[in-house]
Amino acid sequence: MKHGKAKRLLADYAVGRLRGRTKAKIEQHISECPICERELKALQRTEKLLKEVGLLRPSNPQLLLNRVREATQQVRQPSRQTLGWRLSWRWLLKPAIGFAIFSSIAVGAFVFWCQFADKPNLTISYEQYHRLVSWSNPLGNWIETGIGEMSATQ
Amino acid sequence: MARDELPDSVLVAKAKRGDWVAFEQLFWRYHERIYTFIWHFLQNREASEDLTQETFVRAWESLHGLKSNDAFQVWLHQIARRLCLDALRKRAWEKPMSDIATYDDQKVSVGEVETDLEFGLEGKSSPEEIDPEETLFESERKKAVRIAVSKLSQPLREVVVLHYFEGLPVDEISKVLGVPIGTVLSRLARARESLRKLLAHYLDEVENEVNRP
Repeated sequence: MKHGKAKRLLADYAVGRLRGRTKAKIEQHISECPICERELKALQRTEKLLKEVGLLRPSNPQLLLNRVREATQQVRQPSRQTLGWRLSWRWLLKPAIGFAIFSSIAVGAFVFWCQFADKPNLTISYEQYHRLVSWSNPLGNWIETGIGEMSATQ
Repeated sequence: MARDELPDSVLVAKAKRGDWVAFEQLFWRYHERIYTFIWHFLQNREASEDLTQETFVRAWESLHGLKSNDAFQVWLHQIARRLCLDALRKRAWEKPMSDIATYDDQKVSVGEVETDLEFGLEGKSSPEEIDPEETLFESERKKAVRIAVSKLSQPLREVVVLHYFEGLPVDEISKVLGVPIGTVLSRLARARESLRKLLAHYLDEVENEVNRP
């Protein structure tokens, strides 16, 4: 393996990311190259430095716990019973969505069918029409047919 | 078996039944980890404490949503991470871009980090816990490492904190971050490479210590 490639892969090798032939090749290179060997040791020392840093601590953990307790008392943990009730209704969700989709498709299909289906012949004669109008609004029919005007002139 | 020796799964099961004492045990077990994780996102003591509190409150509220009791640690970190990302987004929205000490553009307010660390937030903060043999130099070195870590980009920094500071194995980190194990290893490698350059001055001293009989 060439030095440039080995240098690029060194950090991956140090964290154990390399496998198989690449790993063997880089190990071979490190054993022959003092620069890479030194670089690998530097990476290992960096790891040592990082590992000794450890955790940070809040200024007052007990106070923090008290604050958590107060906050959790305000918003209570959902009880198992409440959760059980929620779960017992959850099964209805999917059938309800299915039903809603089916209903909208059915309504859509019905409207579509109404638009294009053969309609019954509703043509009626002039006389039939006036009979209908006179039945629903006698005065209107009277005016519309001109009978009113005729009788006024007479 | 003492209560604080009980495994997470048992304590979580008890907490799910409303046992506050069990939840307290979980708090004592994880509060430093969560605080450390959050601090390296926000780099502010008060904000980190607030968010640590919020993380545990959220955990208590949604404990029933946790499917596997063994996965409590990963789940808790996921909650903390979501809260941190929300806080950073909010901060970026509220402040003009020039004022933000973000991680992504590597503009870290080192002064703020140092001030926070001066507060005695290092692992051993109370006087009786301070090892008399721990030299001033060692604490300076730890501080330098934290500052160097804070200069990393956010994806690199979070893997460093989780793996080296908290000691989480790579597979659990991949679950916390929702990325493949290979990505975690790659980020660790890149982070270590950057830190090796940033901490060059301290590495020689470590080498001397290693070689010391």
